[in-house]
Amino acid sequence: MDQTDRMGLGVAVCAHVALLAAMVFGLFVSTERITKSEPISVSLVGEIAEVSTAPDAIQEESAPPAAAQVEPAPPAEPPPAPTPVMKFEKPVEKPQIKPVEKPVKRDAPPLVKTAVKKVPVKPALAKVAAAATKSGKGTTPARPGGLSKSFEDSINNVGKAPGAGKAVGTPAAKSGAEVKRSVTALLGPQIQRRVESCTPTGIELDRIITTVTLSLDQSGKLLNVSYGGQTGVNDSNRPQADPLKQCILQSVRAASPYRGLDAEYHEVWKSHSMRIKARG
Amino acid sequence: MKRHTLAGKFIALLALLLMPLAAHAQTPTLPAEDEPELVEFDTAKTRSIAVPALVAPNSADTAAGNTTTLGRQIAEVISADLRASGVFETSGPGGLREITLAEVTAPQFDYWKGRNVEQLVEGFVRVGGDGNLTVGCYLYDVGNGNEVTRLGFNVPPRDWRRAAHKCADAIYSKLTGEAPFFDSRIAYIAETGPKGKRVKRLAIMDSDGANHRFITNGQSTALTPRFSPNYKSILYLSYVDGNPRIYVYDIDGGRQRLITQSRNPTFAPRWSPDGQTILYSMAIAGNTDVYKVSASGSGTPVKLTSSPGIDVGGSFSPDGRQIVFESDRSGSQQIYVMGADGSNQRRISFGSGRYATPEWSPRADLIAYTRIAGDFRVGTMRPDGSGERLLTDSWQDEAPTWAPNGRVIQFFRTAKGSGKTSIWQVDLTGANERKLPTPVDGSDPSWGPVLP
Repeated sequence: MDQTDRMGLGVAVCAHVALLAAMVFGLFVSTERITKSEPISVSLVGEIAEVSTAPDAIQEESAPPAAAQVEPAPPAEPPPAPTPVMKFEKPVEKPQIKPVEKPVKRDAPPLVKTAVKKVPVKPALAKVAAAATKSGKGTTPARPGGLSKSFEDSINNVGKAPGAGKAVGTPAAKSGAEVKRSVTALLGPQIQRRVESCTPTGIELDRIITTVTLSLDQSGKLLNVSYGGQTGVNDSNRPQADPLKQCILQSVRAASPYRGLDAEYHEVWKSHSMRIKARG
Repeated sequence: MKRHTLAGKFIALLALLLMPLAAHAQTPTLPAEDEPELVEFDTAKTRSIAVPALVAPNSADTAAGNTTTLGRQIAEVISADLRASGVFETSGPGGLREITLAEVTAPQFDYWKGRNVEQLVEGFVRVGGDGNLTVGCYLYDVGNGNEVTRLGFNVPPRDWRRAAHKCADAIYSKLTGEAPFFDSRIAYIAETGPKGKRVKRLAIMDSDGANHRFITNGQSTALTPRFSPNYKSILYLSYVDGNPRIYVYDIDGGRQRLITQSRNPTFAPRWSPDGQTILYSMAIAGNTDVYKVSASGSGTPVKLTSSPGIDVGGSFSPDGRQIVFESDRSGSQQIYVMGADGSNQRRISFGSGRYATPEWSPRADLIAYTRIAGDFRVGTMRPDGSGERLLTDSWQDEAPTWAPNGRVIQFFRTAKGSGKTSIWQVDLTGANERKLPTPVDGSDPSWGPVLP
């Protein structure tokens, strides 16, 4: 290898190093851009997937002033916050904009999908809770047609749940999850009383997690329960897997009708999934 | 050499470049935001179940007694079986009102709800034209007000206890998901006499201690019995002439024969799952190895181990393809697994102390053993040695044997000081440790399969 060859080789090596450095730098720049961008919360929560992800301000600006279409709320003090937010519509199944089926008993814009999409859940819940507090009865509903006590209790307890209060996603998305959680907190104990009498025992039973989805009408009556599968089944707990499944399905049916659910939020819980684990 | 160094550097560089990809692949996936909430329930340790006396619609006398009496006795056996499983808190038939025949198919759920009964067993017993008993057995869920299962058994009057066990098995299986096990038998060593001069006889009984029978008279010491899969014979160790030898005892014929003609001590006999092969151990000049031989007595024994030291045969896996055994080849007594032909011998126990008497679960998922670390305790581990769990905690518990469903383990316990032995059983969860009733002291239990 003569001097020319060595020079050529050196130039080639330098060029490759420079190219590699440029690529690495480009990679870092790209990563930095991602971290700098405003996080966008994408919520894949079935029934409420497309709703309540926009900040409050936008809702106020764009909510259609359709008070005439809504039954006036009964006189109540203090004036309740507009809470059409809980009327979540599934866009795929109900693509057309339409008023909600049930009149809202308050001064609120109609529960149309375009409005719903932009209304956060939590502020509304917070206002309702504040109204209840002002009534001097703690979590007692402040007015007819308000939250039932048990439902409101469960919502209030949401903040005490592990992980609550963490800044994850937008407030609206978090509220949707919280409401789901509160519904689970309401339904769980009602099912538990039944499950306890039929759950099998065995080693590693607590590794089995059974998923069920409840279809409920507005009164809390079970219309259907569907089995969503089990995880954690192994050679040791396999004998218990099917009896556990049957026990859970039977208990879900027997516990109907479910108490404490507020019909006003039926769109939230009309199809409600839960994962159930029995500690053996 | 230099080429190897360059290659090594290249591989290292490649590894460095790929490291971020690997790291990315190992990043834990966060739970989906829409994953349903998890609800956790504590399971009730026991369930309340009521067993009123079975109805005898047309009371009649049989060789086993009056059907009205049998109805009560069958309910007593069902109740005792379910209670002994540790899963149920039973009531009845004593203390419960008599039911009518109409109630057998249309229970008064409100009445039983008022007595905090969760499950209800009702049934009837009557004599058929052939002189046999027909036993009807119904299980109801009181809380939900529905029938869970119903079965009928046609048995000769003398087998009324088996009908009761079958009914209890059906209820147990339906409510727990486990395979049945009440309708099975146990062989064990009945011990009498003072410490140091014990008389040890081979005995058999039902899983609940009923129908007890001594097989040998105690003139020679008997040890480690094992029922054949078809219950027709029992393998056991006997000191007929002062040396330990393995015999097969024909239960119906009352005869026995030696497994091998060798004059060397043979011991630790076990059947293969199909009953065609017998596993045993034989000591020759201080070296003990595991052998297998045809159960028919024909053919030449096959030596499966050859390491210096003591290899003692444990048991076959349920599919007959593997054997678990104990060996001190590592310097201490440990558990090993090998192929049924002696291949691929590997150690699976690595805890402190020693391990002995391994027994493969009929469900294949676990191996039970005696752990010797100060005290003797019974435990289980997976066939790969993982998941070690100790189920008992006494001074000397040993020689586990599995219930046919792999859910319950029997063992024998020796009392400190007196040396008295007794047979115990414990649920696989470690709960419901209970002593079995035996007319005399008992050791070396062996649980047979569910009766055919």
